[in-house]
Amino acid sequence: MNIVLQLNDVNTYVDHYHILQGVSFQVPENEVTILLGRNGAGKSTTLRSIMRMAPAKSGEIILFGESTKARNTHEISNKGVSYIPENLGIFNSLTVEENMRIAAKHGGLNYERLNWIFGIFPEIKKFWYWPADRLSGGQKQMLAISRALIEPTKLLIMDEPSKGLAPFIVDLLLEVLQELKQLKTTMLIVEHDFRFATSIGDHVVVMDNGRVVYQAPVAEFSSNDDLQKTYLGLSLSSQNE
Amino acid sequence: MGRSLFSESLPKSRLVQLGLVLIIICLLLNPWLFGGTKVLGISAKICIFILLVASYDLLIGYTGIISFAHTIFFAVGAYGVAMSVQHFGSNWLSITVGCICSLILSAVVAFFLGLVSFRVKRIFFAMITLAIASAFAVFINQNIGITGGEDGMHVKVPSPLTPTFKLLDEKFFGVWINGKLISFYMVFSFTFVMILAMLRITKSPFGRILTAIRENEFRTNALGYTSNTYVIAILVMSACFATFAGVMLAITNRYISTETTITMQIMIDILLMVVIGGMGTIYGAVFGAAIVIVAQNYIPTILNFATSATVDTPFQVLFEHERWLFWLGIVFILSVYFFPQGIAGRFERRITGP
Amino acid sequence: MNKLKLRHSDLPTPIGIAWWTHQDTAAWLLIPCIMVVFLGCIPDMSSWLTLTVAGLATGMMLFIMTAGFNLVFGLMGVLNFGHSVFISLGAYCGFVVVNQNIPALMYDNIYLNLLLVASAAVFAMIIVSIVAVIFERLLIRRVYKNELMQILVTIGGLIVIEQVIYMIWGSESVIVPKPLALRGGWSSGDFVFEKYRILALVTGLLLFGSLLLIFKKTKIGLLIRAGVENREMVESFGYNVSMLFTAVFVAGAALAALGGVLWSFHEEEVSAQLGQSMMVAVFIIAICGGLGSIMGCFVTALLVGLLSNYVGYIAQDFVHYSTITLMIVILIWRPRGLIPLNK
Repeated sequence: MNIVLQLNDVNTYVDHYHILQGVSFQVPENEVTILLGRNGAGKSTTLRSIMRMAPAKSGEIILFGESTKARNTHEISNKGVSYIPENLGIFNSLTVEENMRIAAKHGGLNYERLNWIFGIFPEIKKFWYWPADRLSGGQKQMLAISRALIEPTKLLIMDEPSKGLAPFIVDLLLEVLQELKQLKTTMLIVEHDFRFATSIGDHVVVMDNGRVVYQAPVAEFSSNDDLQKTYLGLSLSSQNE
Repeated sequence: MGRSLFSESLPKSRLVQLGLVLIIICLLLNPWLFGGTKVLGISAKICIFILLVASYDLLIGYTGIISFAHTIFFAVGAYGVAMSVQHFGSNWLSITVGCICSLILSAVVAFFLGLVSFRVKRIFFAMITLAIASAFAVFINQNIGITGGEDGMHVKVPSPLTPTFKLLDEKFFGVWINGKLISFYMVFSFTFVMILAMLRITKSPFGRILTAIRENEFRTNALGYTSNTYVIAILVMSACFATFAGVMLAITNRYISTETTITMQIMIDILLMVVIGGMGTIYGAVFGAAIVIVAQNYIPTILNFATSATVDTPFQVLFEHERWLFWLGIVFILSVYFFPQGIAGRFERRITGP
Repeated sequence: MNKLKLRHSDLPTPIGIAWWTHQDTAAWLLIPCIMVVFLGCIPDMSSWLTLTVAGLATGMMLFIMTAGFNLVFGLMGVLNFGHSVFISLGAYCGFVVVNQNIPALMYDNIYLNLLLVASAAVFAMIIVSIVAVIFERLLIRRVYKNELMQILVTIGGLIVIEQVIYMIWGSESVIVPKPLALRGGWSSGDFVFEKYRILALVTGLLLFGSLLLIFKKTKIGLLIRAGVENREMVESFGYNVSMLFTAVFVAGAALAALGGVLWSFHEEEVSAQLGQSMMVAVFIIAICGGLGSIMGCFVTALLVGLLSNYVGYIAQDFVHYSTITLMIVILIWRPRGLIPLNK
């Protein structure tokens, strides 16, 4: 199985805080890898290190077979990586349309793809000319995801995509991600919602205190209540109670 | 006793300590070590600028606030004394009165600037102070009747400070103790005391809160310290120290003008000295002032040499006497790159770690 | 073909023009306000008219000189203290072109004269652009995050380039006479309308219009607007923002050069202090307009132009103070500038 992304002993500092203390894991191709962990474990920083927004001080990050050491964020993006940060990164001073135009870097808006997105999130079509800051939180989330989908992508990196979404929209999102999986997209998702994670995920990587403490297929993790309690402070079965 | 006097603010690096002591000795004993009025004048100027730059470091090094209004306080101090002496005669009382009035005016202006700084972003504040400083400069230049305009003002100092006054009837170890010497030592001791005062301020709880404000203003406020009050307090203090420097200038130089007090050139000099010396250290000002002023005075000599060496070549124009600013600019840029922490800062880092 | 199957009936009506608000109108209204105020102060109607036109023309030139600084500051967050030296350098480059073509000054043909002015401007813009690229690569690149360093380094750059100007052209000021067909004007009673002012007004308006167009309608403008808000995010979509920034910086410098050339013909004289004398005005206009805001910059520039001309007529000495008072008043009213970008 191809490994799309590999991290080897990555150490990252933010200001002078040592956030990532030797992170190593793999993201296999065409599968969904879920990054789990408590608050402050270093999950978001890991994503930012991959995108070179918070460059790693030491260690290696290998993307599509190449080291990203000397690359800039835009170069990484152009290799086929889409990134949705936790705060969504919506351009509030622009309209929904303009937000989408920026995301459509290669060749402008593809109308077929756009119609597909409108099918999933009809509100994007409804608010097409609105300034993005007038959207509700959930709608902004939909916009953020739409931006990531407007162009075909090889690796989709998302930071808590289901945060703040109403349950039925979360289901909608799950459907979209399933479709993407069929379209051979690799995904790396940071999540807190355990149910979401286990329904879409194939592999689980658990982080704590800036290190990876556990890696396994999802099935193994969701059947192990003790592991879940240790690393997440809760378990799937207790959530279902 | 020395330890407590300097209150844990001694530089930790041996090299920096040595340099500091060296400079102090050179200044203190300059009539005997080097001799001549030129060196005396340069030493006096160094002392004045040490005070001025340290006061600026108090602001920029400890609170991170960038201001171009500092020359205003310098000029206020100088012109306050000059005008007072002109109106009330040259005696110690008029100098004191002038000094006090200048301090009050500076404090008021600093207070007002403090209020402005809360309303606008930091970077706006920097440009606003530039505009206000230029307004002051225009005011001084326009009101020739009061301030002498571009021609400046002469300051008649009390007789013990004049060059013709002699304290002893014979030379002291080969040097005449005349008025110039006396006024130099007055400046030197005054500067020394003021620097100690500033060091005391920075190491006090007050100073620590300032550093906390610079590091994380929000958090400091959350801990119960109204950052605004502290910022205004330090602005006023820094302005007062700068005013003192201006007073010293008027007394020792016995001539002031906009050229020597409030122009952009002076502000750039201050910035250069604070950068080379090291921000946030107070005693960095000693290094910065000494190096820059010595360089300024001896660069023309070097330039003259270079001019004669390149006569009749197209490069001659690079070394013309008036073009020393060009080289200063290059030095400025290089020192910002290679000495971002300044001399004091750089060596300090090596001792205390990353 | 692949037409977007959005029918306008599908969409709710856009809420007005998304980027114009009531606050903007209030800011624009300041211009007629100030005109009316001084209409009261200046008894003579035709003098007022002359001053108003002069003020608007000055304002246009100030806008051209400041637009670059404002853009760079707004987009890159870079405070370029050396901006005013681009103005001087541009003016001197224009002078070089005029100096080589002295006979052309005497042609009484409006088109040839305009050609002369245009070539002076183009030459100045090219030279200054080259200098700006070096300036940005050498100096600005390394100090992106650090405000104090930016100020220091760009001041250093300012000093060095200004000294180079002295080296090349000396410290005496040089004369840049207006070409024949652009001299003089029409008068009616006390009202004098100088021909050259039309050039300033037209260029300023054209520039304003094109900048707004580029900003609102082109991809580059889109990227710049997005970059002002969130540079990192724009990069994450695959755009080389560093190059974009360099391009904006160079454009800003070129505009400064254009402003310098226009100003040099207006004053018919250039000295190396031109830049420094404009520095304070540029800062005031940029701050009071609002970071990165073209409209704000335009409005403020016109206000400053008008104010200086009116006050200059009534009480010459107070011109400088009046500009500063304007700045204080505007900042008390709107601390982030008249028309800030993020509302």
